[in-house]
Amino acid sequence: MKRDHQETIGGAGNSIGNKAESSSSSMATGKGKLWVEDDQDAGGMDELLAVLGYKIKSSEMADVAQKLEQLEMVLGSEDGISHLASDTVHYNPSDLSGWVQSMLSELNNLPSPDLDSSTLLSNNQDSNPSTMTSLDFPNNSQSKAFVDDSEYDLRAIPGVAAYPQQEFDKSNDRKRMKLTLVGSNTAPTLAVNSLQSSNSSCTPSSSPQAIMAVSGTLSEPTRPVVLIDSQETGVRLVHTLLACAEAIQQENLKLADALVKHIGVLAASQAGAMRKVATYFAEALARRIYKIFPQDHCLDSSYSDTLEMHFYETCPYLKFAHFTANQAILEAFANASRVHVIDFGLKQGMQWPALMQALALRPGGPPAFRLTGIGPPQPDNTDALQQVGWKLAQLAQTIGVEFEFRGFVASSLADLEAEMLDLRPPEVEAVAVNSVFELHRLVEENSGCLMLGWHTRPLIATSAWQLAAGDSRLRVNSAEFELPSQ
Amino acid sequence: MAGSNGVNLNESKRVVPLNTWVLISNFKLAYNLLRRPDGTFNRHLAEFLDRKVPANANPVDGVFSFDVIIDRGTSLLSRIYRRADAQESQPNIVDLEKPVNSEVVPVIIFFHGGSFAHSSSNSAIYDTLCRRLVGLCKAVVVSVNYRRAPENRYPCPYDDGWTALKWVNSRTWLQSKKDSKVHIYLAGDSSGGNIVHHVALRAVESGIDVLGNILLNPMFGGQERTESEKRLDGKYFVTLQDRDWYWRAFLPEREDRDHPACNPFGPKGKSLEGIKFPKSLVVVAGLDLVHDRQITYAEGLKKAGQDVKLLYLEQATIGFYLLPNNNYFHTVMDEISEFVSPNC
Repeated sequence: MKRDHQETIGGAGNSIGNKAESSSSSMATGKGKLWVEDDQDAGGMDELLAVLGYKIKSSEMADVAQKLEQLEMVLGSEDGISHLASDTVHYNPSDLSGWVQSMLSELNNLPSPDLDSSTLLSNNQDSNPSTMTSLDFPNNSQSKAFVDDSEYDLRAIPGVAAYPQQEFDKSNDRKRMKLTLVGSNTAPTLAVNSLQSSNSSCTPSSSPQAIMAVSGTLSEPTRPVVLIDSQETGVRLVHTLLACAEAIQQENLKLADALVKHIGVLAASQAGAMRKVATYFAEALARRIYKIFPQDHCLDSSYSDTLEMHFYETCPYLKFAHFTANQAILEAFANASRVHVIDFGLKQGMQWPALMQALALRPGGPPAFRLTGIGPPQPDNTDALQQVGWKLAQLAQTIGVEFEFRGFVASSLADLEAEMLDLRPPEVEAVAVNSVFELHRLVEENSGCLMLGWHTRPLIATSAWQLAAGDSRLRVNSAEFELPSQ
Repeated sequence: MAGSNGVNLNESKRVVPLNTWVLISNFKLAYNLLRRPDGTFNRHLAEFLDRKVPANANPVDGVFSFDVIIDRGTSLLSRIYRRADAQESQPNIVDLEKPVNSEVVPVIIFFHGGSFAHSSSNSAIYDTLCRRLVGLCKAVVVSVNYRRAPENRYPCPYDDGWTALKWVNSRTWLQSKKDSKVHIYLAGDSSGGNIVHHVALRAVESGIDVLGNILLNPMFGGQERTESEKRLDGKYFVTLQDRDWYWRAFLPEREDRDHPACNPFGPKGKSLEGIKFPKSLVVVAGLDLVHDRQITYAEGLKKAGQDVKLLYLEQATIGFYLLPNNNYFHTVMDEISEFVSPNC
């Protein structure tokens, strides 16, 4: 505390001898000065006790003391008063005056005149926060402001603020806080805020005198942190990796930077696979932090193809997108005898084997399956599309599905026109337009391919896309709509 | 409350500031509610009434804190208090256990009081005290949230203290630069003071160096009633009846108050002669009804050739160190700061 040696020894005579080796100090001033006004803060609360969780006005101190004495006298005659614990309803222990009074009243079996409805905010740890929005006060001009918190009283201690600041408390989603602000004059209105989630804000009451409780100095929220200490560097490594990823997600790059360096240290202490994986992860995180993104086309195409296939096998997102799209297509193709799928981004064609197998197993036999695959030009001028088409044709042969393939190389989908696609009449052929993770590119290119899709008069258009930057989670959607036939 | 009457209440009021009196009387009253005659304890209500504060990784007055799980098996938590670097406004997770960067940094393992049954590391009174110690001693403070009676009897708090000691000693980030060792002091008030003694004792043959013990109004007892116990019973917030209750709640059943946990230099105790025991600072409040026992303890150390400083505060009551509104408070703080200072 920032208090110097204060001569706040109250009391009557000089009964306080001092054998201790402190420097000599003047004894208390006269009798009757049982408390010191220096101990108050702006609200008149005893600041020293406030830091310890008890809100008592200095002017009430003597009164509270007296009530305590009364209580002791009454209870002193009994052997144990623990039965009182279960018989009494305990309200807010921080409001010591109220608490003592309520016990006194309980003992005297009187309804306490001092209790007003404000103290009926239950402070039970398990109860739901009450969300009263207005209370009527009797016209005693005592303005009270107290904070009702079942588990934690104080936000920032010690120091100036005897009252918690609650603008935004991001870290305390475990706690429930109720702040009751009362105007000091007649007809006050209350704003009662429950901070149940971490981001609720405090909206002050409309009464102009309402904000007496918020002393407005400290605005730092409290950050309670619990460390789970792990001797195992491996566990710490994982935790740090996760924390780093989270920091990046929250755009806290400074923290992420510190963490990623820490990861480097931790990873170095590991061996074998853990070390490799952690190092790669750390590198990936670092690239994200420092915004080092790989250039397009810097990978050899066969290398990237292999990578894509492995990615497909290990990561479920793409498979799931394909699965969902395929289901929708199958349903749309239910009765067609000839079907045509236009894939705006053929890549490795990983979506189609599964569809073809499902078509092959259709009761009544498979339809004829035509696939039009669209892809970008390859840097090494190999015809990737044809290769994919060829492999799919081989598969089709083994499973007995009539198969036709057409590939279109287009650096931009604007280059394509509906006529090029050799569309056949809808009575003959059912068409599905498929775009998995192509949507952003399509939209960016402003390519009119959506119109193209329209022109094909598809029975169904399936698309899956990733939500925008900042949300790294994947979403899969299957849009099904029927276009009017023309 | 045997022996108390109106006169006594006024007497205690005369020796402490009013707000201190209100604080301690409140505890007295509340604790009375919690102790049941059959020896059980109303833990639910106790936790409800206890004013607690969260740890705060944001520095306040240059000190920040965070909780650590030291032992999962016993759910042993400790709260760690550190000084914030000047430029650090928000220590992040990497900074929490950043190595201390001084030649010598005292690490004070603190055991809160509460007669083995009350309070926790996150009780406001103890959180405040620990924060003070950080600034005062330029130390790191580790406040151990030991298991309490009557749910957990002897030797649980000692075990927890020992676990914490081992943990602190093995933290590389707490090592002082000078010798790459952790400079450990044990401190505690009331039951915490008792724990300090017993943990230090356990550390003796272990190879873990405890540099000093600080005992504030340590809780000791014995089967016979001493003079101060008889004279001061009920006069300054504390009664023999409640003291007895707490010993019965903590000691193994069927043991009496001469058990060495309670009475380390009593008939069942043993001398510490020839043992390498840490130096001790024993702070005794003259108006604490067990002060005889505390003085006996200090004398027992002295007789065994141990280094002990007895600080006797004639008109101090229990809890005087909770509020900085009296001379004794400042005296003790100065003594503590000197005790853990590297020059000592």
